[in-house]
Amino acid sequence: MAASESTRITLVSNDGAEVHVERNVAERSMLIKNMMEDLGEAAMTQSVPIPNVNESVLKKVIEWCEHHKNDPPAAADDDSDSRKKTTDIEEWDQKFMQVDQEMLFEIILASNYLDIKPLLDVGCKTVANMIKGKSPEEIRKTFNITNDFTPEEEEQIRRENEWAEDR
Amino acid sequence: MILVLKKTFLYNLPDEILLKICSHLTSHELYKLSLTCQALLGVTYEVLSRALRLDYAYRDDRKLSELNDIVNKLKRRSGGFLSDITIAHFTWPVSSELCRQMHHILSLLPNLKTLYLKEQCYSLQGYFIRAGKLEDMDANLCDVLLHSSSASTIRSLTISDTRISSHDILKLFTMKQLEHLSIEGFNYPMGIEPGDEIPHANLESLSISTTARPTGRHIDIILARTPHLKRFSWNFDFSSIFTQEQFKQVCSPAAISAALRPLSSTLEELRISMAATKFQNDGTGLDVSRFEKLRRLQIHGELLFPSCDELSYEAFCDGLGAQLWDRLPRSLETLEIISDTYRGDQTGFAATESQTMNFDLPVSNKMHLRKLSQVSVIRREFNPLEEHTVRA
Repeated sequence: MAASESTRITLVSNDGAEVHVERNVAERSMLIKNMMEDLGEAAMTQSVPIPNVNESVLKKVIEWCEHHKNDPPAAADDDSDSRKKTTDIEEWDQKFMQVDQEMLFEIILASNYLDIKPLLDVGCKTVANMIKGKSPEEIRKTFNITNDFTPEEEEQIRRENEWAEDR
Repeated sequence: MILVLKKTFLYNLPDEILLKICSHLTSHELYKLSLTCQALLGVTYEVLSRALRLDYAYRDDRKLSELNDIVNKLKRRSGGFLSDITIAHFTWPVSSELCRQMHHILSLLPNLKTLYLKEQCYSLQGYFIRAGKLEDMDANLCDVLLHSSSASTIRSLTISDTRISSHDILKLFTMKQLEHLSIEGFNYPMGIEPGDEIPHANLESLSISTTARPTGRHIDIILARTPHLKRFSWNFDFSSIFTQEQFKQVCSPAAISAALRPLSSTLEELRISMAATKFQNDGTGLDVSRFEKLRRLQIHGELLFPSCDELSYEAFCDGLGAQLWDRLPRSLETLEIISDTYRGDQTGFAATESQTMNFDLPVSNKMHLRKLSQVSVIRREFNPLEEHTVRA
């Protein structure tokens, strides 16, 4: 039975904010979709708590779902294919992902929790693209990483992985 | 409202997500990521160390000159010493072209220590589709290996090839440095003549995963020629090969005890595991009390007890253990008992879940087994295979 597009449900973020959203938009999340199927009519009247996600992240995730609500469902196993075309992120998604790092990681964590595979994938690709083409020092700078190797350890890793140097 | 400040950094994302990110990076990019900090080294290490060896995917249109390039590049990158390779072939059966390429690769690697030959097309479906064109009956990976210089340098060898025969296995025993041999998909127990002159192997570790008869001359002959064996792992998978009746006839605790007898003075680890067919005990139980060096035993409950529906901690304390201790050696440190449940009554099964329970038994309960520090039960659940129904 197809839900009418105007059916709205209420999600509650972990900091107590109520977010109203069209049911078919929220159902980009497999977690919510399955929950809806289990709850049936009750879900329409009750609010749905999302304990792992705060308001600003939840709103951002819903913004993505809104834009992608009419996407055809992804084939079950297109993983191997998408893996190769790493830089392939559609323009809207690229713009969407231009957020500070904290937000980027929170979106990734939320999409993982809410089980929104295409969003998780876009997030991981975005991070991968931020790593590509950078030296270790540049990667540290980009992601605020403190070098916690001793010079000997660093030398050893370099020696062991010499073969990967010019790949 | 209380604000919890919990900042998320790249390096404290969960591993599953970091691995997903890594899957979009090349080895070179991973290498640079691994040099940033300990936490990220940990995640990339596994991916990198896997790539440290040559993973050669067989394609029948590859030119030998192309192979030279691939191997030489890797040799340079590994500081001239590439000792670990995997060759995966995607076709079934083994073709003479694959053998030619493998021969060439081996000739470029004079110090090879580890070789992993992996067959990709393993499913029964593949078997039946391709069985129609068995044009390369003479192509034999073991022969190629034995005629190369690697035959005298390889220490660890894994072959996954459903066409390997017991005769091939015995030929591999002539490799002087070979310490670890693992044969996956052994289902041709033919070709052994009892009079064959086969030297004793120096093997310390042998793993055979078989769809062949578990007892009888083939395994006996193999085990009689491995006088130094310390670790033996024996996996049977009888899905659709035997009926339960046939299985009961060929695989009894007594028959298995007899097959294992030549190993009694050297064996330190023994694993026997079966899949896809429920073993029925004939009222006896396996006796390994004379295996005076055995430290670790992983085995099916049905091979130890006439009935083992209730392998609980209480049952062990109430005497189930006492039935068993006499048949185990003093040296035993770890005992793992496999207990399988099968749903449905078909012949093909797929494992779904596995769960391990550790029993901390009181010392007084373990009798003479003073070294026995771990007793656990591994419960596995099997459900009927639905998709791959085999039609004769």
